[in-house]
Amino acid sequence: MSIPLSQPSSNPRKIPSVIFIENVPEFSSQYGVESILNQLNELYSKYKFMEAQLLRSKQVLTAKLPDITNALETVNYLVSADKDLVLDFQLSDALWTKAEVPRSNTVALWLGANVMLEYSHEEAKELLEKNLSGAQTALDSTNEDLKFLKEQITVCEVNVSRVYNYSVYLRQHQAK
Amino acid sequence: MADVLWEDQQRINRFSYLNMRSKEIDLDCKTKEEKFNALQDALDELELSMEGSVRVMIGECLIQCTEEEAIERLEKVKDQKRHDLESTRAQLEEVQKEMLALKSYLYARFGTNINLEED
Repeated sequence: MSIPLSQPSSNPRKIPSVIFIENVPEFSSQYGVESILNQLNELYSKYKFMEAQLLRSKQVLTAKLPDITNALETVNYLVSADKDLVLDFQLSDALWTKAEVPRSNTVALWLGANVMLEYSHEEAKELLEKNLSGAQTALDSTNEDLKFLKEQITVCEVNVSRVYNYSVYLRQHQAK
Repeated sequence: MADVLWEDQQRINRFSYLNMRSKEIDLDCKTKEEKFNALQDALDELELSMEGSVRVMIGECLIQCTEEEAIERLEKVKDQKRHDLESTRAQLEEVQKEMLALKSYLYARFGTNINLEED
């Protein structure tokens, strides 16, 4: 039998929330200590699994942010520099070389999938700023979900320990 | 032992969330401090250097510029980083203050039945 341990929640990603067991003795006599503990543990590992997944995507997102800000910083510099530039750039891990960059109004952005596209400075800034705020929003919602999951995990842990303590109390009582 | 009420559970939730946050912010603080110190070192180094032309890292390239330009640029970045670092530190302090308040409430209520320390 499935015990009603989770319920729909207000989380935007539709992650269900775990119930808080208000009255442990009543709840235990209704569903039985053993099956409550089993199903709580099952729910707990589901939350833990989800948390691990979100932590991974958070890592990916946080790694992406500096790439975008670096590109944005470079474009901003190109806009502000009104002269031909001399710069060193990286060819491969252990090799740098010099380049002369004549003044220009365009910049090429690496879009991924072997595609590079030339933009005007304003368009490039716009695109990068859009990407940056997109990545930031995604990170914010991931953080929000992680907070939500942390709450569910904590409630699960407290539920488990309260039901377990009650089961110990029951056994001691029956032994007398 | 006092039974756990929903209000208590909410306080425990808040505490465990803040505990997670404080570790995150602490790490963030340390990386920002490192970057800030690196900028300070660069500026000190520029102070002493006799070179007319230096290279400053912008994005993934090293841009050649005069010492004055380099100092101006680094000072600007340093100021930004300092503000950033200060606000992160303030956040950390706030989180730790709230945790302390929650701690004293929860210990008063549950005594040794609850453990809120790091393992």
